[in-house]
Amino acid sequence: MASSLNPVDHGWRKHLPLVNAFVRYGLLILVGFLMIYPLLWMIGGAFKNNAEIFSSVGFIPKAPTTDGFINGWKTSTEYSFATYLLNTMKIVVPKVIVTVISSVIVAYGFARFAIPGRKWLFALLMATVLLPKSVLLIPQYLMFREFGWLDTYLPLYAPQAFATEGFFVFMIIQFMRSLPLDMEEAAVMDGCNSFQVLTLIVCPVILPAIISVALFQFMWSMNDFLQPLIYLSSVEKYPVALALKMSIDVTEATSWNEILAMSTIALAPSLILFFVAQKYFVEGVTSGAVKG
Amino acid sequence: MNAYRLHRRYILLGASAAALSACSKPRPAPTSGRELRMSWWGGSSAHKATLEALRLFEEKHGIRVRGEYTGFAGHLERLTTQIAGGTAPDVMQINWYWQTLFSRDGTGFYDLSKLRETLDLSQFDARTLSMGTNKGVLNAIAVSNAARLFYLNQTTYQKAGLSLPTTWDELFARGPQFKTRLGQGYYPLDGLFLEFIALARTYVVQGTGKPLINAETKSLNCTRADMYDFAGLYARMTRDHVWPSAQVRASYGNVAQQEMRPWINGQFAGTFQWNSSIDKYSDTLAAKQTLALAPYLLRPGAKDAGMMYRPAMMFAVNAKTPYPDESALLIEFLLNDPDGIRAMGLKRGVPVSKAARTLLDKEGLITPIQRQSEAQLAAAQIHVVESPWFEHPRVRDGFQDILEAMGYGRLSEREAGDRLYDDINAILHRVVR
Amino acid sequence: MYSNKWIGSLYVTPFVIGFLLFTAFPFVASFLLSLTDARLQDQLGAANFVGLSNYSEMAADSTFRQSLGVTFAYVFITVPLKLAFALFIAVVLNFKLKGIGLFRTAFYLPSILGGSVAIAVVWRFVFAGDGLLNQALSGIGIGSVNWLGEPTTAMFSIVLLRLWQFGSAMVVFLAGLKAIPEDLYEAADLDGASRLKQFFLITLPLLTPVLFFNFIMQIVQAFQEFNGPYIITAGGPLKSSYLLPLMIYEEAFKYFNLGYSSALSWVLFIIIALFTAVAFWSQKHWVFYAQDRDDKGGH
Repeated sequence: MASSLNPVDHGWRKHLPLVNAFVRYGLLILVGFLMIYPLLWMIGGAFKNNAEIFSSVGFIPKAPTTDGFINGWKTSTEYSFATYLLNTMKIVVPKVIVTVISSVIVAYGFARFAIPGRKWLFALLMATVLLPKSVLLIPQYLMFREFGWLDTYLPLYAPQAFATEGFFVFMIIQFMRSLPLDMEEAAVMDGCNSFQVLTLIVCPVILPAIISVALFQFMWSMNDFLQPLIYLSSVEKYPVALALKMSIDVTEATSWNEILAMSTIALAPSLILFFVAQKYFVEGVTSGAVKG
Repeated sequence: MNAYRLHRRYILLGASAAALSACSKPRPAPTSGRELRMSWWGGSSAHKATLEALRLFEEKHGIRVRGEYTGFAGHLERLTTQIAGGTAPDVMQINWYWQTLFSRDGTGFYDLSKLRETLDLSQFDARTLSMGTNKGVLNAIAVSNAARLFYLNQTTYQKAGLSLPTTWDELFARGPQFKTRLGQGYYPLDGLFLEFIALARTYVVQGTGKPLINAETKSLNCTRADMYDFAGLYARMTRDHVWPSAQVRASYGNVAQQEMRPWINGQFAGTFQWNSSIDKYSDTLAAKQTLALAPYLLRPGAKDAGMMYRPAMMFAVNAKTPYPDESALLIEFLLNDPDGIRAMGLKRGVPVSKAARTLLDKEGLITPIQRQSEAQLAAAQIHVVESPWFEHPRVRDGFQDILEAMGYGRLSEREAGDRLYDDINAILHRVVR
Repeated sequence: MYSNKWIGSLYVTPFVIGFLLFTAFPFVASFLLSLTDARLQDQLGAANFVGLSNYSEMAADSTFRQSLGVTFAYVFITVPLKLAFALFIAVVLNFKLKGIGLFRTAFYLPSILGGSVAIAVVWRFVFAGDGLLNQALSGIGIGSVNWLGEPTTAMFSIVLLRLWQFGSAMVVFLAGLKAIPEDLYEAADLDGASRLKQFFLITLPLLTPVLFFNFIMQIVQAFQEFNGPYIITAGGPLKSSYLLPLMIYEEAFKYFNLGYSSALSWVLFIIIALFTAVAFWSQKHWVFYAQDRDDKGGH
């Protein structure tokens, strides 16, 4: 909500912007600290030894050690953590790409065309979002077994290529519907077909929404545990979510500092992606778009 | 391309393939290039040890084994999905009560007695073998047996100037003693509801001399009065400060016992735990604290030790495996072969196979506390064989919900006893199929 | 906007194929399962058809009623709070303050951590009897509370976990705020409108499609919350935090009652569908879509 500057005030009102900023920053810092405290604790815990993790509440380790990172990276399996990170990328990157492409295409169809049976199709779309996933697990497993896709990454991203995740389609639809039609109508009058309008006009404008879709799908896929668990049986194909839970067991003491250390590392891709994506939220992409 | 030529080429290929497959033997003999799949769960050191054992197996027998392993979380979910979908591995590590899920009629797993020539069953006593038998079919073989024993934090007891209890009454007396000498936060014994249910079962079975659950009649094998005793035990132990109350335990959230702060620093000073996994508990104790095996508590005139002595984990073979002989060879290697035994060590508890025991004993690989535990088990009067339905989650949760309600004051002791008798019987009727 | 329906259908075809290929079968299969007494470990053919008895059993099941009540309470509390909070912070972050990028990341971080094991561990820690929250409360004079140990307060920790992860809703609001043309505000400034007025007359109306989206999504996600209760409280004590998705999971994967679990999921599905349908119907009263306007321009 940027706006022009207020006219200059006199007297005590002169200090109002300062107080304003103080309050604003104060609030942000307080809330911000509450937000990231658990993360700080997690990182701090990664540097503690196992006995200390559960006995102290503070996040600064008394006797810092890199054991958690070293042992966690080596893992107790035949492969290092690098393998699992790479596997996660092999799953998540294709998944995000196909999700974005298919969601935008399908959303455009819903948002801009009077398709026969649109209401019913849309209801179906929403229905896919509403049903709890755990109950679809067994039938989907049997289906993918018939396809011969077990122990591959296909069940994890192939469905997304067909815009089966209604959540993202719905989100893009909403963004598209909030745009005035002027630009698109102008482009059509200039002789563009619908696909050109989509790619050249609409996409740049809803870029923040597209980035959001990519971000969300990236993050959620990184944390997905149950799906990889039942579809992947080879340890060398495990993604990070499985690898992290591999050493939590009922017969042995768990090395929590390793898990916290690796969780911190696993967090890095999502964080980096967010930093990179930030600038699309900073620039007001639409400024000037409606003029003339 | 000429459609006719294409057509003929495929017919030729198909015919030669059919001819080849007709000539091949129905079950290939073990050769290099065969690959077995084995699944297990465990922690870091269990994974390392098992992978090493599999490597040695490949060196010795030339058969490669692919390990499919996870932590305990999710393992049963995955195994169940695999069994339902027909994609289970050749050799599987299973829990004792999972037999009731997958092979009540004996056909869910491969019949191991057919593999007698490869798998030396003489190393296992009759009782152990019976615990892997369903409707006369040997489905699973025990890796190690275990029972719950009393392990107490020696350091805390010494700090209180108290000796380890030798009878139930002495244990009950320790409660107030702990409170006065050490403070509100100290308890002589602790555990999850799951552990208490096992403790109460032991108490009741010592009195009745019969297993608690009768799978034939689908009901409890005791009287209503025994259930009053069951509820009464919980009421008494929490009231007398012997066992932490439900509210106190719940304040820590859904945490494993050995990871609770009071356990780590010795305030909750005891556990009624499986001897096969006791290392997990002593490992997390803060420095300079030791865990000791306490004498096994017996009621005066006890008809049986009331121990639930059953396999800690077992190996089973996929009923439809294409490689039964190789699978048997693998299990034989892991349980009876010196190299396999040494590689696995005590990671899955003290092995029950005679060959393994003798070897580990001779090489001094059994820790003192394990040695004492085994001695206590050998000396105990164990005639009662409990039904695996006791460990079915529905049954366990049935017990837990009632005890929890009593702990939070929603049920009186008498009501809890009645509910235990009525509800558990109803659950058993529904669940035992 | 476009008149050619068939091109439109082309755009939507991937979804139709995907639905028929990947979702339809599991969808239908799960409904059929709810009419059987299937156990998780059985081959699909081994189950017996029991008609609607799973559903009638559900009606008599007191645990189900309790879980339903807990779930409704959870949804009615968290959805409005989370939306309000996310919108508020998004608006605050939309200012061009120095270092705003840092704050944006800090607020978004909790959402990234999501259902990770580490977060659950930390949360248990914070709310434990001797945990961080109680230490802070004791520090400022209020005594400790047994957050996780009392049925009345256990839910609070789960609610707070959800509110803590408002970052994703916030990001969507931010994207929506960015899509509002700046010249609208400039014109309003020239007309002399105050910031507050601008918020209610420009921002909020133009934000309604995005608000609607977030509203629907928050409802759906709240009804499907699983990780929090699963890891932190295991649904207790006394099932006071036993949300329906946790019950569905336990029925299937702990008690192996696939038939009953499927029936529960379908009931949950119908409930969510009803809420969603009502919300969609209410759209015409409060959601403003730019393409529905007749005139061009924004002044």
